Amino acid sequence: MELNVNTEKHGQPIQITPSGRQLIWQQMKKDRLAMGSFILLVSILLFVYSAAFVMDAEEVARINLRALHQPPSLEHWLGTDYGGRDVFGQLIIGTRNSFTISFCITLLTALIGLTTGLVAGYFGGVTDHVVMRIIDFIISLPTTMFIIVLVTIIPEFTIWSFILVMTLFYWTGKARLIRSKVLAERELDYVQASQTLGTPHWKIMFFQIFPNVSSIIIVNFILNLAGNIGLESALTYLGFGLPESTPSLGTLISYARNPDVLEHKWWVWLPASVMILVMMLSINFVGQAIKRATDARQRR
Amino acid sequence: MTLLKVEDIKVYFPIRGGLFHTVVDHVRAVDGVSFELQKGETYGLVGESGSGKSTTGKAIVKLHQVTAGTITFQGKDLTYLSRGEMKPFRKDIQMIFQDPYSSLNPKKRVLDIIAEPIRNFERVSVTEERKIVQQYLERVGLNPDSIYKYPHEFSGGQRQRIGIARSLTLKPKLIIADEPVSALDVSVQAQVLNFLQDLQKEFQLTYLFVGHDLGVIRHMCDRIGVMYRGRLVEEGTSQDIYKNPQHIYTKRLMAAVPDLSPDARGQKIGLRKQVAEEYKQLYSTFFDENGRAYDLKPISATHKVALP
Repeated sequence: MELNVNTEKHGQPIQITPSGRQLIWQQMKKDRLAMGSFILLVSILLFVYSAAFVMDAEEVARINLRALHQPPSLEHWLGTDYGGRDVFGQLIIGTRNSFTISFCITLLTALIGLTTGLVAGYFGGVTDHVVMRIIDFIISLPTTMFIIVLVTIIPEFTIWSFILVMTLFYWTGKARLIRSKVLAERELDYVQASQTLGTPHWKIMFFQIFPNVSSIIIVNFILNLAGNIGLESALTYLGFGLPESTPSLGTLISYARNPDVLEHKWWVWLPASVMILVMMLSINFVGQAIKRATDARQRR
Repeated sequence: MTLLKVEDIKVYFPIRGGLFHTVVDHVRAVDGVSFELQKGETYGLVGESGSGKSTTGKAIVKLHQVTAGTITFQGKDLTYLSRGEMKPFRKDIQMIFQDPYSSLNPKKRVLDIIAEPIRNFERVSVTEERKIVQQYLERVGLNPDSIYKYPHEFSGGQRQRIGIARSLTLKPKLIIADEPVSALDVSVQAQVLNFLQDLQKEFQLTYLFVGHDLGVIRHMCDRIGVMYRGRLVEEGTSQDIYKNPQHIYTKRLMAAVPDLSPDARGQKIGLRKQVAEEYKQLYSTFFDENGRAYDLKPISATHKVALP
């Protein structure tokens, strides 16, 4: 009789420990709030980005004198503002703009902060001193005043100039955070081992140290994303952000500076405020779940 | 044939202080150490914590910058080479680290850890690289199927073997073993030590073995250098050091070796007290007014002692 043994089944399981992605997924499943927030956030973003893609931005920004300050109706789902512009359309495009701005600022600051933080922390000594003094200098500048001045003197203020101005001032925090982590990490033997194995510095920085500090970067990235949405709105509300021609959540809320709008025409500013609240909260809940996944002590 | 020659090397670390953060003094971690390694031998550096033995080892692989002195490897001066110039020598001089927990990157798989030196020096295909890694894993007594595991899935002894496998992949001539077994429990220590000796025969390796465990050093080394406060106080073959210690510090170190037989315990305590007494009395004759050991002087063909 022929013995038919399937040897493949007797092999060892290939991977026993859960990977980072699996850990995050586990945490999300355990935390219903984070799961709900995640689904809500993804659906909001999917809807906003696809709707804004279809929508005509110029049509939304066009002033319609026959429909000033109309309350919500079937034609204008969320009413119109003082220029007769559709608030719902502005909300969609505004959310897209605000989120894009926040995402780009977070991404750019993360990239710059990561590189400078890694370089300063890894090399230490003179390099560290020079980089840290530059960072100290930028931090000591009155940020808000500088942004206001830059916004005023830049002739054509667009989303991209806004992102660049913000990035210029906000990468320092990330660089400091990453440097502090790298300082601790580079003392470990595996870094010295890599050096004796002839691995070049840049490879040690980006392929050896970086994976070990990546968890804190991801958490910081997500929590900053929420913060930066507020940053844009706050500046625009004060009148130093984006112009009205580029709708954002901040421009919609800034209409509430008019007491009449604030008191009687809630449909202009309330949806944008709720949108900010919902997005910031859900990003934060998701961020907290990921934070727990990356730190074994906080895991549930 | 002399493989490595270390001549009067000094490694000083600055102590900064004062208002302007200026260098006020130096920690003389290694303060004038010379020795030679012959091809195929095992040279042991022993001493208490902080005596500069690890620093000496790390200075040879240029993890610490040498303040003065020369390091000659196969007739070539390595002391002041830049990183780029040093690279070809990295292949020949490898290091085994003390702590098997921190010396392996926790985020890397075993395959990536062991293949790291290969990727730096050789161009091989992915399948070939995997084959080489598996071959070395098998050689160090680990399952070749475990290349996709992460370091934390292994025990301390297994991790140390991964570290050893990594240092072997480039077929080095000299391995600096910085207390390779001090983090392991005794049963595993013996395994790893015997295994290192087998490898030495197989690959004609030369070891610079840094350690504080006198039993381990005796088991492993042909010649031994005893370090104290950054200086060699005595150098000789294992026989010279263990049977005929001349320097007062070496005597005290040897008296500290525990004896397992309970009968000898009383005698041992007496001996230890006697040596401690002798150490106190003779301290000034063996060390100069700064507490620094004198230069080594030969007292036989193999045996050198730091005497005034």
